[in-house]
Amino acid sequence: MENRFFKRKLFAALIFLVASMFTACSSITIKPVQYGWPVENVVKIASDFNITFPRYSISMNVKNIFKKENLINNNSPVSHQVRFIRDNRGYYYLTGEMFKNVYVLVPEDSEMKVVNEIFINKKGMVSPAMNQRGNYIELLLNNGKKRLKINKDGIL
Amino acid sequence: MLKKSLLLLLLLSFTLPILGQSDYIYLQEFKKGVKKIELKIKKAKTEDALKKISEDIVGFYTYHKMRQNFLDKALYPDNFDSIIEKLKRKVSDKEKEIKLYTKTAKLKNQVSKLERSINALSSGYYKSVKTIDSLNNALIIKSEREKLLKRQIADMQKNLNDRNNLITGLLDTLLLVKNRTATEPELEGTSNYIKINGDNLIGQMITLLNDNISYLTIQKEISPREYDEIIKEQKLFDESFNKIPDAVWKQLLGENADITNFKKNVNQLSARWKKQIDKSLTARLYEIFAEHKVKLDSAETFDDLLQSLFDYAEKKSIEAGSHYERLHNYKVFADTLWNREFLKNWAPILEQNGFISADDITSMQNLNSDWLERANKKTPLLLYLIISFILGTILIYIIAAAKRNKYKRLGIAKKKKREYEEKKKNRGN
Repeated sequence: MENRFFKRKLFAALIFLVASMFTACSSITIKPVQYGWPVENVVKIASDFNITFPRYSISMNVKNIFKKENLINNNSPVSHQVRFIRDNRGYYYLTGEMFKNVYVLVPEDSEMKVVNEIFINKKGMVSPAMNQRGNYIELLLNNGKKRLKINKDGIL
Repeated sequence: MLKKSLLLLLLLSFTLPILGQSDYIYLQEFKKGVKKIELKIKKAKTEDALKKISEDIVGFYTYHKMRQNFLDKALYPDNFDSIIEKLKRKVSDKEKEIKLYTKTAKLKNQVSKLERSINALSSGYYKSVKTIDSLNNALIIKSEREKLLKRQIADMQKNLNDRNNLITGLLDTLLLVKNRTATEPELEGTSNYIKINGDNLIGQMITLLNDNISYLTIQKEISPREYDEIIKEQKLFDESFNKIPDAVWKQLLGENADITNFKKNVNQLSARWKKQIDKSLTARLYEIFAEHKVKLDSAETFDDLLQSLFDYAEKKSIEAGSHYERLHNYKVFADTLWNREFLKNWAPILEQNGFISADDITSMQNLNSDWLERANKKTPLLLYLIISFILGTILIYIIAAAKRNKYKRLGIAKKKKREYEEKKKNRGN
Protein backbone atom coordinates (compact mmCIF):
# COMPACT_ATOMS: atom_id res chain seq x y z
CA MET A 1 0.00 0.00 0.00
CA GLU A 2 2.71 2.34 1.09
CA ASN A 3 4.80 1.40 -1.95
CA ARG A 4 1.92 2.30 -4.32
CA PHE A 5 1.51 5.67 -2.68
CA PHE A 6 5.22 6.32 -3.08
CA LYS A 7 5.08 5.37 -6.80
CA ARG A 8 2.20 7.81 -7.43
CA LYS A 9 4.08 10.63 -5.80
CA LEU A 10 7.17 9.90 -7.84
CA PHE A 11 5.12 9.83 -11.05
CA ALA A 12 3.52 13.20 -10.25
CA ALA A 13 6.91 14.73 -9.53
CA LEU A 14 8.26 13.41 -12.82
CA ILE A 15 5.34 14.89 -14.79
CA PHE A 16 5.86 18.27 -13.08
CA LEU A 17 9.56 18.20 -13.92
CA VAL A 18 8.98 17.38 -17.59
CA ALA A 19 6.25 20.03 -17.89
CA SER A 20 8.57 22.64 -16.35
CA MET A 21 11.30 21.73 -18.80
CA PHE A 22 8.96 22.17 -21.80
CA THR A 23 7.74 25.54 -20.51
CA ALA A 24 11.28 26.80 -20.14
CA CYS A 25 12.29 25.75 -23.65
CA SER A 26 9.34 27.34 -25.56
CA SER A 27 9.95 30.92 -27.00
CA ILE A 28 7.53 33.81 -27.40
CA THR A 29 6.24 34.52 -30.90
CA ILE A 30 4.94 37.89 -32.13
CA LYS A 31 2.48 37.80 -34.97
CA PRO A 32 1.26 38.86 -37.38
CA VAL A 33 4.17 41.00 -38.67
CA GLN A 34 4.16 42.95 -41.90
CA TYR A 35 7.61 43.65 -43.16
CA GLY A 36 6.53 45.16 -46.48
CA TRP A 37 8.08 48.34 -47.81
CA PRO A 38 5.54 50.66 -49.44
CA VAL A 39 7.75 51.38 -52.41
CA GLU A 40 10.84 49.85 -53.93
CA ASN A 41 14.18 51.50 -53.32
CA VAL A 42 16.25 52.40 -56.32
CA VAL A 43 19.88 52.95 -55.39
CA LYS A 44 23.09 53.65 -57.19
CA ILE A 45 25.86 51.11 -57.01
CA ALA A 46 29.25 52.31 -55.89
CA SER A 47 32.34 51.21 -57.79
CA ASP A 48 33.05 48.70 -55.03
CA PHE A 49 29.52 47.25 -55.49
CA ASN A 50 28.29 48.65 -52.19
CA ILE A 51 24.73 49.89 -51.90
CA THR A 52 22.99 51.71 -49.04
CA PHE A 53 19.37 52.40 -48.18
CA PRO A 54 19.46 55.38 -45.80
CA ARG A 55 15.74 55.15 -44.96
CA TYR A 56 16.13 51.59 -43.65
CA SER A 57 19.76 51.92 -42.53
CA ILE A 58 20.80 48.92 -44.61
CA SER A 59 24.01 48.64 -46.55
CA MET A 60 25.35 45.64 -48.42
CA ASN A 61 27.71 44.52 -51.13
CA VAL A 62 26.09 43.07 -54.28
CA LYS A 63 29.22 41.97 -56.14
CA ASN A 64 28.22 38.27 -55.97
CA ILE A 65 24.87 38.98 -57.58
CA PHE A 66 26.56 40.94 -60.40
CA LYS A 67 29.01 38.06 -60.85
CA LYS A 68 26.10 35.66 -61.12
CA GLU A 69 24.37 37.93 -63.64
CA ASN A 70 27.66 38.35 -65.49
CA LEU A 71 27.31 42.13 -65.36
CA ILE A 72 30.86 43.01 -64.42
CA ASN A 73 33.13 44.78 -66.85
CA ASN A 74 36.69 45.73 -65.82
CA ASN A 75 35.79 45.00 -62.24
CA SER A 76 32.96 47.59 -62.38
CA PRO A 77 29.20 47.06 -62.48
CA VAL A 78 27.69 47.28 -65.96
CA SER A 79 24.34 48.36 -64.62
CA HIS A 80 24.42 51.37 -62.30
CA GLN A 81 21.25 50.92 -60.32
CA VAL A 82 19.56 48.10 -58.41
CA ARG A 83 15.99 47.90 -57.24
CA PHE A 84 15.21 46.48 -53.86
CA ILE A 85 11.94 45.79 -52.12
CA ARG A 86 10.72 43.76 -49.16
CA ASP A 87 7.44 41.87 -49.18
CA ASN A 88 5.02 41.63 -46.31
CA ARG A 89 6.43 38.24 -45.22
CA GLY A 90 9.93 39.67 -44.88
CA TYR A 91 11.63 38.42 -48.03
CA TYR A 92 13.79 40.83 -49.96
CA TYR A 93 13.67 41.05 -53.77
CA LEU A 94 16.59 42.41 -55.72
CA THR A 95 16.82 43.05 -59.43
CA GLY A 96 18.00 45.62 -61.92
CA GLU A 97 18.41 46.68 -65.52
CA MET A 98 19.73 43.84 -67.70
CA PHE A 99 19.22 41.30 -64.89
CA LYS A 100 17.94 37.90 -65.98
CA ASN A 101 16.64 37.01 -62.54
CA VAL A 102 14.91 38.48 -59.55
CA TYR A 103 16.75 37.38 -56.40
CA VAL A 104 14.81 36.47 -53.27
CA LEU A 105 16.89 37.04 -50.16
CA VAL A 106 16.57 36.49 -46.45
CA PRO A 107 18.66 38.22 -43.78
CA GLU A 108 21.08 36.11 -41.81
CA ASP A 109 23.82 36.94 -39.32
CA SER A 110 25.65 39.81 -41.09
CA GLU A 111 24.72 38.46 -44.50
CA MET A 112 21.87 37.94 -46.92
CA LYS A 113 21.19 34.55 -48.29
CA VAL A 114 19.65 34.01 -51.74
CA VAL A 115 16.79 31.58 -51.22
CA ASN A 116 15.39 31.75 -54.73
CA GLU A 117 16.37 33.02 -58.15
CA ILE A 118 13.28 33.82 -60.19
CA PHE A 119 14.23 33.57 -63.83
CA ILE A 120 12.53 36.23 -65.94
CA ASN A 121 14.33 36.83 -69.19
CA LYS A 122 17.30 35.28 -70.95
CA LYS A 123 18.28 38.57 -72.62
CA GLY A 124 17.98 40.56 -69.44
CA MET A 125 15.14 42.77 -68.28
CA VAL A 126 14.39 46.20 -69.78
CA SER A 127 13.21 48.90 -67.40
CA PRO A 128 12.16 46.59 -64.59
CA ALA A 129 10.27 47.94 -61.56
CA MET A 130 8.72 46.33 -58.50
CA ASN A 131 5.54 47.37 -56.73
CA GLN A 132 4.30 46.33 -53.32
CA ARG A 133 0.92 44.69 -53.75
CA GLY A 134 0.37 43.09 -50.36
CA ASN A 135 0.20 39.38 -51.04
CA TYR A 136 2.69 39.53 -53.85
CA ILE A 137 5.22 41.75 -55.56
CA GLU A 138 4.29 43.15 -58.94
CA LEU A 139 7.15 43.07 -61.42
CA LEU A 140 6.83 45.51 -64.30
CA LEU A 141 8.87 45.10 -67.44
CA ASN A 142 9.40 47.24 -70.52
CA ASN A 143 8.16 50.44 -68.83
CA GLY A 144 5.08 48.75 -67.43
CA LYS A 145 3.99 47.10 -70.66
CA LYS A 146 4.41 43.67 -69.11
CA ARG A 147 3.42 42.80 -65.59
CA LEU A 148 4.23 39.71 -63.53
CA LYS A 149 3.15 38.67 -60.07
CA ILE A 150 5.93 37.12 -58.03
CA ASN A 151 6.50 35.90 -54.49
CA LYS A 152 9.34 34.10 -52.72
CA ASP A 153 8.58 30.88 -54.58
CA GLY A 154 8.54 32.32 -58.11
CA ILE A 155 6.14 33.66 -60.69
CA LEU A 156 2.50 33.26 -59.71
CA MET B 1 -19.78 71.48 -65.77
CA LEU B 2 -16.70 71.91 -67.93
CA LYS B 3 -14.57 71.94 -64.80
CA LYS B 4 -16.15 68.67 -63.56
CA SER B 5 -15.65 66.85 -66.84
CA LEU B 6 -12.08 68.10 -66.97
CA LEU B 7 -11.49 66.73 -63.50
CA LEU B 8 -13.04 63.40 -64.49
CA LEU B 9 -10.80 63.26 -67.54
CA LEU B 10 -7.83 63.97 -65.34
CA LEU B 11 -8.80 61.19 -62.95
CA LEU B 12 -9.29 58.76 -65.82
CA SER B 13 -6.00 59.70 -67.40
CA PHE B 14 -4.42 59.10 -64.02
CA THR B 15 -6.20 55.79 -63.31
CA LEU B 16 -5.51 54.16 -66.65
CA PRO B 17 -1.72 54.41 -66.72
CA ILE B 18 -1.53 53.53 -63.04
CA LEU B 19 -2.28 49.93 -63.92
CA GLY B 20 1.15 49.55 -65.41
CA GLN B 21 3.08 52.24 -63.56
CA SER B 22 5.91 51.77 -61.17
CA ASP B 23 5.09 53.04 -57.68
CA TYR B 24 8.60 54.37 -57.52
CA ILE B 25 8.09 56.48 -60.66
CA TYR B 26 4.71 57.63 -59.42
CA LEU B 27 6.31 58.72 -56.16
CA GLN B 28 9.02 60.59 -58.03
CA GLU B 29 6.37 62.32 -60.13
CA PHE B 30 4.45 63.29 -57.03
CA LYS B 31 7.60 64.76 -55.53
CA LYS B 32 8.36 66.56 -58.79
CA GLY B 33 4.81 67.98 -58.76
CA VAL B 34 5.36 69.31 -55.22
CA LYS B 35 8.68 70.88 -56.27
CA LYS B 36 7.04 72.48 -59.30
CA ILE B 37 4.35 74.09 -57.14
CA GLU B 38 6.98 75.24 -54.65
CA LEU B 39 8.92 76.89 -57.45
CA LYS B 40 5.78 78.59 -58.71
CA ILE B 41 5.15 79.93 -55.20
CA LYS B 42 8.70 81.21 -54.99
CA LYS B 43 8.41 82.98 -58.31
CA ALA B 44 4.96 84.49 -57.69
CA LYS B 45 4.97 88.26 -57.57
CA THR B 46 1.31 89.11 -57.32
CA GLU B 47 -1.59 88.02 -55.18
CA ASP B 48 -3.44 86.96 -58.35
CA ALA B 49 -0.62 84.57 -59.24
CA LEU B 50 -0.88 83.08 -55.76
CA LYS B 51 -4.61 82.66 -56.17
CA LYS B 52 -3.98 80.60 -59.29
CA ILE B 53 -1.37 78.51 -57.48
CA SER B 54 -3.89 77.83 -54.69
CA GLU B 55 -6.26 76.46 -57.32
CA ASP B 56 -3.43 74.29 -58.69
CA ILE B 57 -2.85 72.89 -55.21
CA VAL B 58 -6.52 71.94 -54.95
CA GLY B 59 -6.25 70.16 -58.34
CA PHE B 60 -3.04 68.45 -57.29
CA TYR B 61 -4.67 67.30 -54.05
CA THR B 62 -7.70 65.88 -55.87
CA TYR B 63 -5.49 64.17 -58.47
CA HIS B 64 -3.41 62.32 -55.86
CA LYS B 65 -6.03 61.86 -53.14
CA MET B 66 -7.01 58.34 -54.30
CA ARG B 67 -3.46 57.11 -53.68
CA GLN B 68 -3.27 58.71 -50.25
CA ASN B 69 -2.71 55.36 -48.48
CA PHE B 70 0.33 54.61 -50.59
CA LEU B 71 1.67 58.17 -50.33
CA ASP B 72 1.20 58.27 -46.55
CA LYS B 73 3.54 55.27 -46.26
CA ALA B 74 5.95 56.21 -49.03
CA LEU B 75 6.40 59.83 -47.93
CA TYR B 76 7.41 58.90 -44.40
CA PRO B 77 8.23 60.87 -42.17
CA ASP B 78 5.81 63.23 -43.99
CA ASN B 79 2.45 62.18 -45.30
CA PHE B 80 0.14 63.26 -48.07
CA ASP B 81 -1.87 65.73 -45.97
CA SER B 82 1.20 67.26 -44.36
CA ILE B 83 2.78 67.87 -47.78
CA ILE B 84 -0.39 69.60 -49.01
CA GLU B 85 -0.52 71.61 -45.77
CA LYS B 86 3.09 72.66 -46.30
CA LEU B 87 2.25 73.90 -49.79
CA LYS B 88 -0.73 75.86 -48.49
CA ARG B 89 1.39 77.38 -45.74
CA LYS B 90 4.00 78.42 -48.27
CA VAL B 91 1.29 80.16 -50.29
CA SER B 92 0.09 82.03 -47.24
CA ASP B 93 3.66 82.98 -46.25
CA LYS B 94 4.30 84.24 -49.74
CA GLU B 95 1.08 86.23 -49.60
CA LYS B 96 2.35 87.93 -46.47
CA GLU B 97 5.70 88.53 -48.12
CA ILE B 98 4.06 90.15 -51.15
CA LYS B 99 2.00 92.39 -48.87
CA LEU B 100 5.15 93.24 -46.98
CA TYR B 101 6.93 93.97 -50.21
CA THR B 102 4.24 96.49 -51.10
CA LYS B 103 4.81 98.12 -47.72
CA THR B 104 8.56 98.00 -48.24
CA ALA B 105 8.18 99.70 -51.59
CA LYS B 106 6.29 102.47 -49.79
CA LEU B 107 9.12 102.68 -47.26
CA LYS B 108 11.61 103.00 -50.07
CA ASN B 109 9.57 105.88 -51.41
CA GLN B 110 9.60 107.42 -47.97
CA VAL B 111 13.38 107.13 -47.81
CA SER B 112 13.76 109.02 -51.06
CA LYS B 113 11.51 111.77 -49.72
CA LEU B 114 13.52 111.90 -46.49
CA GLU B 115 16.70 112.17 -48.46
CA ARG B 116 15.34 115.10 -50.46
CA SER B 117 14.18 116.83 -47.27
CA ILE B 118 17.63 116.46 -45.70
CA ASN B 119 19.24 118.02 -48.76
CA ALA B 120 16.86 120.95 -48.65
CA LEU B 121 17.33 121.45 -44.90
CA SER B 122 21.11 121.37 -45.19
CA SER B 123 21.12 124.26 -47.60
CA GLY B 124 18.65 126.08 -45.31
CA TYR B 125 21.04 125.68 -42.38
CA TYR B 126 23.90 127.30 -44.23
CA LYS B 127 21.69 130.19 -45.21
CA SER B 128 21.07 130.72 -41.48
CA VAL B 129 24.81 130.65 -40.76
CA LYS B 130 25.40 133.21 -43.52
CA THR B 131 22.58 135.40 -42.21
CA ILE B 132 24.13 135.34 -38.73
CA ASP B 133 27.47 136.41 -40.17
CA SER B 134 25.93 139.26 -42.10
CA LEU B 135 23.91 140.33 -39.05
CA ASN B 136 27.06 140.52 -36.99
CA ASN B 137 28.58 142.86 -39.56
CA ALA B 138 25.43 144.87 -40.28
CA LEU B 139 25.14 148.44 -39.09
CA ILE B 140 21.95 148.19 -37.11
CA ILE B 141 21.06 148.99 -33.55
CA LYS B 142 22.11 146.46 -30.93
CA SER B 143 18.64 145.50 -29.72
CA GLU B 144 17.42 144.92 -33.26
CA ARG B 145 20.49 142.82 -34.05
CA GLU B 146 20.01 140.70 -30.94
CA LYS B 147 16.39 140.13 -31.82
CA LEU B 148 17.30 139.02 -35.34
CA LEU B 149 20.17 136.87 -34.10
CA LYS B 150 17.91 135.10 -31.63
CA ARG B 151 15.45 134.37 -34.39
CA GLN B 152 18.19 133.00 -36.64
CA ILE B 153 19.60 130.79 -33.88
CA ALA B 154 16.12 129.46 -33.16
CA ASP B 155 15.79 128.67 -36.88
CA MET B 156 19.15 126.87 -36.81
CA GLN B 157 18.08 124.85 -33.79
CA LYS B 158 14.87 123.84 -35.49
CA ASN B 159 16.72 123.00 -38.67
CA LEU B 160 19.18 120.80 -36.77
CA ASN B 161 16.34 119.08 -34.90
CA ASP B 162 14.57 118.35 -38.15
CA ARG B 163 17.70 117.01 -39.79
CA ASN B 164 18.60 114.87 -36.80
CA ASN B 165 15.11 113.41 -36.84
CA LEU B 166 15.26 112.85 -40.58
CA ILE B 167 18.64 111.12 -40.47
CA THR B 168 17.67 108.81 -37.58
CA GLY B 169 14.36 108.22 -39.33
CA LEU B 170 16.23 107.37 -42.51
CA LEU B 171 18.59 105.01 -40.67
CA ASP B 172 15.65 103.33 -38.95
CA THR B 173 13.87 102.96 -42.27
CA LEU B 174 16.98 101.41 -43.79
CA LEU B 175 17.07 98.95 -40.94
CA LEU B 176 13.35 98.27 -41.18
CA VAL B 177 13.59 97.50 -44.88
CA LYS B 178 16.64 95.31 -44.29
CA ASN B 179 14.95 93.40 -41.44
CA ARG B 180 11.74 92.92 -43.31
CA THR B 181 13.40 91.55 -46.39
CA ALA B 182 16.09 89.58 -44.58
CA THR B 183 13.59 87.27 -42.93
CA GLU B 184 11.88 86.34 -46.15
CA PRO B 185 13.34 85.08 -49.40
CA GLU B 186 14.01 87.80 -51.91
CA LEU B 187 11.29 88.39 -54.43
CA GLU B 188 12.30 87.45 -57.94
CA GLY B 189 13.79 90.41 -59.73
CA THR B 190 13.65 92.77 -56.78
CA SER B 191 16.35 94.13 -54.56
CA ASN B 192 16.31 93.89 -50.81
CA TYR B 193 17.88 97.27 -50.49
CA ILE B 194 16.89 100.81 -51.14
CA LYS B 195 18.25 102.43 -54.21
CA ILE B 196 19.50 105.70 -52.76
CA ASN B 197 22.70 107.59 -53.25
CA GLY B 198 24.84 106.13 -50.48
CA ASP B 199 27.61 108.70 -50.79
CA ASN B 200 25.11 111.53 -50.46
CA LEU B 201 23.60 109.97 -47.33
CA ILE B 202 27.00 109.49 -45.72
CA GLY B 203 28.00 113.04 -46.70
CA GLN B 204 24.82 114.43 -45.18
CA MET B 205 25.38 112.43 -42.02
CA ILE B 206 28.92 113.68 -41.52
CA THR B 207 27.91 117.27 -42.28
CA LEU B 208 25.06 117.00 -39.82
CA LEU B 209 27.34 115.70 -37.07
CA ASN B 210 29.73 118.58 -37.65
CA ASP B 211 26.85 121.08 -37.67
CA ASN B 212 25.59 119.68 -34.37
CA ILE B 213 29.05 120.16 -32.87
CA SER B 214 29.46 123.70 -34.22
CA TYR B 215 25.96 124.69 -33.12
CA LEU B 216 26.93 123.99 -29.52
CA THR B 217 29.82 126.41 -29.85
CA ILE B 218 27.71 129.11 -31.54
CA GLN B 219 24.75 128.99 -29.19
CA LYS B 220 25.66 129.95 -25.64
CA GLU B 221 22.28 130.24 -24.01
CA ILE B 222 20.80 126.81 -24.37
CA SER B 223 17.87 126.02 -22.12
CA PRO B 224 17.64 122.78 -20.09
CA ARG B 225 14.81 121.58 -22.38
CA GLU B 226 16.98 122.17 -25.45
CA TYR B 227 19.87 120.29 -23.86
CA ASP B 228 17.50 117.43 -23.16
CA GLU B 229 16.50 117.34 -26.83
CA ILE B 230 20.12 117.52 -28.01
CA ILE B 231 21.28 114.74 -25.66
CA LYS B 232 18.43 112.53 -26.78
CA GLU B 233 19.10 113.24 -30.46
CA GLN B 234 22.75 112.28 -30.03
CA LYS B 235 21.85 109.03 -28.27
CA LEU B 236 19.24 108.19 -30.88
CA PHE B 237 21.70 108.83 -33.68
CA ASP B 238 24.28 106.57 -32.04
CA GLU B 239 21.76 103.76 -31.62
CA SER B 240 20.25 104.08 -35.09
CA PHE B 241 23.63 104.26 -36.81
CA ASN B 242 25.14 101.29 -35.02
CA LYS B 243 22.08 99.14 -35.63
CA ILE B 244 22.60 99.20 -39.40
CA PRO B 245 24.42 96.03 -40.47
CA ASP B 246 27.54 96.21 -42.62
CA ALA B 247 25.68 94.54 -45.47
CA VAL B 248 23.44 97.61 -45.88
CA TRP B 249 26.40 99.98 -45.92
CA LYS B 250 28.11 97.74 -48.46
CA GLN B 251 25.01 97.90 -50.62
CA LEU B 252 24.94 101.70 -50.34
CA LEU B 253 28.65 102.39 -50.66
CA GLY B 254 29.77 99.50 -52.84
CA GLU B 255 31.41 96.18 -52.10
CA ASN B 256 34.92 97.64 -51.97
CA ALA B 257 34.09 100.44 -49.54
CA ASP B 258 36.05 100.50 -46.28
CA ILE B 259 33.04 100.09 -44.01
CA THR B 260 35.09 99.62 -40.82
CA ASN B 261 36.91 102.88 -41.33
CA PHE B 262 33.76 104.75 -42.32
CA LYS B 263 31.93 103.48 -39.22
CA LYS B 264 34.91 104.40 -37.05
CA ASN B 265 34.90 107.96 -38.43
CA VAL B 266 31.19 108.44 -37.90
CA ASN B 267 31.39 107.03 -34.38
CA GLN B 268 34.31 109.33 -33.60
CA LEU B 269 32.28 112.33 -34.80
CA SER B 270 29.32 111.21 -32.75
CA ALA B 271 31.60 110.87 -29.70
CA ARG B 272 32.87 114.42 -30.34
CA TRP B 273 29.28 115.63 -30.46
CA LYS B 274 28.63 113.92 -27.11
CA LYS B 275 31.75 115.49 -25.62
CA GLN B 276 30.74 118.91 -26.94
CA ILE B 277 27.32 118.57 -25.30
CA ASP B 278 29.05 117.85 -21.99
CA LYS B 279 31.40 120.78 -22.46
CA SER B 280 28.65 123.20 -23.47
CA LEU B 281 26.42 122.09 -20.59
CA THR B 282 29.27 122.52 -18.11
CA ALA B 283 30.07 125.99 -19.44
CA ARG B 284 26.41 127.00 -19.29
CA LEU B 285 26.02 125.93 -15.66
CA TYR B 286 29.34 127.48 -14.70
CA GLU B 287 28.09 130.74 -16.15
CA ILE B 288 24.80 130.56 -14.23
CA PHE B 289 26.71 130.13 -10.96
CA ALA B 290 29.17 132.85 -11.90
CA GLU B 291 26.32 135.29 -12.58
CA HIS B 292 25.47 134.99 -8.86
CA LYS B 293 29.10 135.54 -7.90
CA VAL B 294 29.63 131.91 -7.04
CA LYS B 295 33.15 131.40 -8.27
CA LEU B 296 33.68 127.70 -8.86
CA ASP B 297 36.93 125.99 -9.77
CA SER B 298 37.24 125.76 -13.55
CA ALA B 299 35.70 122.63 -15.08
CA GLU B 300 35.76 121.07 -18.56
CA THR B 301 33.26 118.32 -17.95
CA PHE B 302 30.10 118.05 -15.94
CA ASP B 303 31.79 115.62 -13.54
CA ASP B 304 34.46 118.23 -12.81
CA LEU B 305 31.79 120.87 -12.32
CA LEU B 306 29.93 118.66 -9.87
CA GLN B 307 33.13 118.17 -7.91
CA SER B 308 33.67 121.94 -7.92
CA LEU B 309 30.16 122.46 -6.55
CA PHE B 310 30.83 120.04 -3.72
CA ASP B 311 34.22 121.66 -2.99
CA TYR B 312 32.63 125.11 -2.97
CA ALA B 313 29.80 124.09 -0.65
CA GLU B 314 32.18 122.32 1.72
CA LYS B 315 34.60 125.23 1.80
CA LYS B 316 31.97 127.90 2.26
CA SER B 317 30.01 126.01 4.89
CA ILE B 318 32.97 126.02 7.28
CA GLU B 319 34.29 129.47 6.34
CA ALA B 320 34.58 132.00 9.18
CA GLY B 321 32.72 135.25 8.96
CA SER B 322 29.88 137.15 10.43
CA HIS B 323 26.55 135.48 10.93
CA TYR B 324 25.06 137.67 8.25
CA GLU B 325 27.83 136.91 5.79
CA ARG B 326 27.62 133.15 6.29
CA LEU B 327 23.87 133.17 5.95
CA HIS B 328 24.09 135.27 2.83
CA ASN B 329 26.57 132.85 1.22
CA TYR B 330 24.31 129.95 2.05
CA LYS B 331 21.26 131.69 0.66
CA VAL B 332 22.94 132.50 -2.64
CA PHE B 333 24.38 129.05 -3.23
CA ALA B 334 21.92 126.67 -1.64
CA ASP B 335 18.63 128.54 -1.79
CA THR B 336 18.86 130.51 -4.98
CA LEU B 337 21.20 128.48 -7.16
CA TRP B 338 20.98 124.89 -5.98
CA ASN B 339 17.36 124.65 -4.90
CA ARG B 340 15.62 127.11 -7.19
CA GLU B 341 17.73 126.97 -10.33
CA PHE B 342 19.61 123.67 -10.38
CA LEU B 343 17.21 121.27 -8.71
CA LYS B 344 14.14 122.73 -10.34
CA ASN B 345 15.35 123.28 -13.92
CA TRP B 346 18.45 121.18 -14.51
CA ALA B 347 18.56 118.19 -12.15
CA PRO B 348 15.59 116.26 -13.67
CA ILE B 349 17.13 116.42 -17.16
CA LEU B 350 20.65 115.72 -15.96
CA GLU B 351 19.50 112.80 -13.84
CA GLN B 352 17.42 111.39 -16.68
CA ASN B 353 20.38 111.55 -19.04
CA GLY B 354 22.86 110.03 -16.61
CA PHE B 355 24.90 113.15 -15.82
CA ILE B 356 24.04 113.18 -12.14
CA SER B 357 22.82 110.48 -9.78
CA ALA B 358 20.18 110.63 -7.07
CA ASP B 359 22.99 109.94 -4.57
CA ASP B 360 24.87 113.05 -5.74
CA ILE B 361 21.75 115.15 -5.20
CA THR B 362 21.17 113.69 -1.73
CA SER B 363 24.82 114.30 -0.77
CA MET B 364 24.58 117.95 -1.81
CA GLN B 365 21.29 118.32 0.09
CA ASN B 366 22.95 116.94 3.22
CA LEU B 367 25.91 119.23 2.75
CA ASN B 368 23.60 122.22 2.40
CA SER B 369 21.67 121.25 5.54
CA ASP B 370 24.90 121.16 7.54
CA TRP B 371 25.84 124.49 6.02
CA LEU B 372 22.55 126.06 7.06
CA GLU B 373 22.95 124.73 10.57
CA ARG B 374 26.41 126.23 10.86
CA ALA B 375 25.34 129.51 9.29
CA ASN B 376 22.45 129.85 11.74
CA LYS B 377 24.65 129.40 14.81
CA LYS B 378 24.94 132.73 16.84
CA THR B 379 27.39 133.68 19.70
CA PRO B 380 25.64 132.94 23.05
CA LEU B 381 24.08 135.93 24.93
CA LEU B 382 25.94 135.18 28.15
CA LEU B 383 29.23 135.55 26.35
CA TYR B 384 28.11 138.92 25.08
CA LEU B 385 27.09 139.94 28.64
CA ILE B 386 30.41 138.88 30.11
CA ILE B 387 32.30 140.67 27.41
CA SER B 388 30.12 143.77 27.90
CA PHE B 389 30.64 143.61 31.69
CA ILE B 390 34.39 143.35 31.34
CA LEU B 391 34.48 146.13 28.80
CA GLY B 392 32.22 148.26 31.03
CA THR B 393 34.42 147.65 34.09
CA ILE B 394 37.51 148.58 32.16
CA LEU B 395 35.80 151.75 30.92
CA ILE B 396 34.66 152.76 34.41
CA TYR B 397 38.14 152.10 35.76
CA ILE B 398 39.66 154.23 33.06
CA ILE B 399 37.24 157.07 33.71
CA ALA B 400 37.78 156.80 37.46
CA ALA B 401 41.52 156.80 37.04
CA ALA B 402 41.36 159.76 34.79
CA LYS B 403 39.23 161.65 37.29
CA ARG B 404 41.55 160.78 40.14
CA ASN B 405 44.51 162.05 38.19
CA LYS B 406 42.64 165.22 37.45
CA TYR B 407 41.88 165.87 41.17
CA LYS B 408 45.35 164.91 42.01
CA ARG B 409 46.65 167.33 39.48
CA LEU B 410 44.22 169.99 40.83
CA GLY B 411 45.42 169.36 44.43
CA ILE B 412 49.07 169.88 43.45
CA ALA B 413 48.19 173.02 41.62
CA LYS B 414 46.34 174.42 44.62
CA LYS B 415 49.19 173.51 46.90
CA LYS B 416 51.69 175.19 44.61
CA LYS B 417 49.46 178.26 44.38
CA ARG B 418 49.23 178.42 48.17
CA GLU B 419 53.01 178.08 48.48
CA TYR B 420 53.50 180.76 45.90
CA GLU B 421 51.13 183.08 47.67
CA GLU B 422 52.85 182.39 51.00
CA LYS B 423 56.20 183.08 49.39
CA LYS B 424 54.85 186.28 47.93
CA LYS B 425 53.50 187.28 51.32
CA ASN B 426 56.81 186.54 52.94
CA ARG B 427 58.67 188.62 50.36
CA GLY B 428 56.28 191.43 50.94
CA ASN B 429 56.84 191.26 54.62
